[in-house]
Amino acid sequence: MLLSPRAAMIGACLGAAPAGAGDAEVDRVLALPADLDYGAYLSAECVTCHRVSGHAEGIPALVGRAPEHLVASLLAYRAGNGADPVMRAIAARLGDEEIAALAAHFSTQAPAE
Amino acid sequence: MAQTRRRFLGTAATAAGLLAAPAAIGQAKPKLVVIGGGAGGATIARYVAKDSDGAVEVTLVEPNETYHTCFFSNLYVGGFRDYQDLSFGYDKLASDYGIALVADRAAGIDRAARTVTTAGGTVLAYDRLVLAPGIDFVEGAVPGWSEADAEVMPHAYKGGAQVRLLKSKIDEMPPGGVFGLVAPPNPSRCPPAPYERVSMVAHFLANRNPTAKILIFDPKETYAKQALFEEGWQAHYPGMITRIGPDFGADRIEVRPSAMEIVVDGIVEKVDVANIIPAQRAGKIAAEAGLTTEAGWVPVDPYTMTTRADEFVTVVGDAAEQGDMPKSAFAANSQAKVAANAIRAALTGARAFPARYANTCWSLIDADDSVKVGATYEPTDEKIASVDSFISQMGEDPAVRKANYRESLDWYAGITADIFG
Repeated sequence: MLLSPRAAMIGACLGAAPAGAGDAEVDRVLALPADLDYGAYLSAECVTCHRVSGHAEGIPALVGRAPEHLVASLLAYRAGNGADPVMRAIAARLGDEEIAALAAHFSTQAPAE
Repeated sequence: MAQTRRRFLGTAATAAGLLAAPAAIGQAKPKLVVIGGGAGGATIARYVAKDSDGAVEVTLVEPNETYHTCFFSNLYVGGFRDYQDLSFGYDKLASDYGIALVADRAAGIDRAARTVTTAGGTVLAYDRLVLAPGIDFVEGAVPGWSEADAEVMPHAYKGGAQVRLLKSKIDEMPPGGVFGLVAPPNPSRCPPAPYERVSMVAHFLANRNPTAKILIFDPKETYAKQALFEEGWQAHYPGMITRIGPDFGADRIEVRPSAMEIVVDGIVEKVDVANIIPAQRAGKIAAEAGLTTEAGWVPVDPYTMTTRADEFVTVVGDAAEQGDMPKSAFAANSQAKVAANAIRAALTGARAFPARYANTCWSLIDADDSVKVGATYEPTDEKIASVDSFISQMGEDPAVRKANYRESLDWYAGITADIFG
């Protein structure tokens, strides 16, 4: 599969993050109105494993992550790409609205410690 | 004497919270009382307090000042964690979130008057009550064993002293000794945990006492992650572990704590350490409150975790009968965040968002060999239903298993921060 330049860059940042979402698809989701309250609610599911401290042993931190990184990653997982079955299952039920809300939320968060 | 058992903390922070809620001035703030400071209860308390900005008065009733997680306690048994690594206090819930802590046991619930009375005699009024009592054991489920025998034959199926006791007994096992584990029937807390425990005991014995043997007495035909565990045991601990299933009488055993014997189908097995994990039911306060069915669990509304019997009472975690989710800390924490949103919506008019549930469970078989299982769920009118699931594959690349282990470390740090702040 050919990677878009942005997807390749994100892959380098996140290590195990999947490739597959095109820039146009990422931009389309980023352009959606982001519901920050909804994003905060949805993020509660993420922070069970993705540590709000920003520390990471084996699960990448999401706090402070640029929105385009999160959107590209979640779109790719939703498309069934990426090795991790946990994230494929989680992303499978995220609509564009949810992904936009989550990306907006995490971009506003700083590491807690 | 009752007075000395009772301690109130965090009142200053609660008073500070008042200032942040001008809309509530002139009227009583709605009161949430949470009974049980584990993965379900403490998470609800924290999320309601955090997200309501002081508009809800949150009280957490929990007799223990320190919580010892049952999840990851098997890693302590295996020597991968220290005991103190499993310990958490409630101080941040008071200081950072303004939650009032009542360090006492909830002794009675009057659902008509909407009050909780503690063992020390404190009466707490509530607008919404959360019960998160975890499990208790079904009396007589393992003939010959009662909780009075737990010092001799530990259950070690609640975090804390029982787990430490079991670990000390394994440490002191004689060379070539026998460790016997009686597994529970379904439904039970954390279905793969007895088998992860066997794995961790085997890991410890393989290094320290390699001629020792492990016997599992299992009333179930099959169990969670069975193929993965059996593959791992064969690879890491060949010949050490034997499982006796119901086809050989393990569904009708008797134990004799004073003689350290487990009797199966008339055959007496002498053991040096016994771990008895009996059949389970909701923590007994749920039954005393009249919320349980004959099966011993509390039926709840899948959309909000409100009990079917009482719209002012929410039950999350192991005690709830909700459908397809396993009884795990992950599931309790997931349910708690749905319930917290629903409670805030009911008490303050906050936005209610659709329920979303998930569970992932990692089990460590040997160093750097961790397997995982999980699912996503959605509410239906009937139950919380599984929509998608996954499980580790047999014969996987060791690098995948090692990555799983590293994930589990982040999960433990993440979820405990999510519960205790």
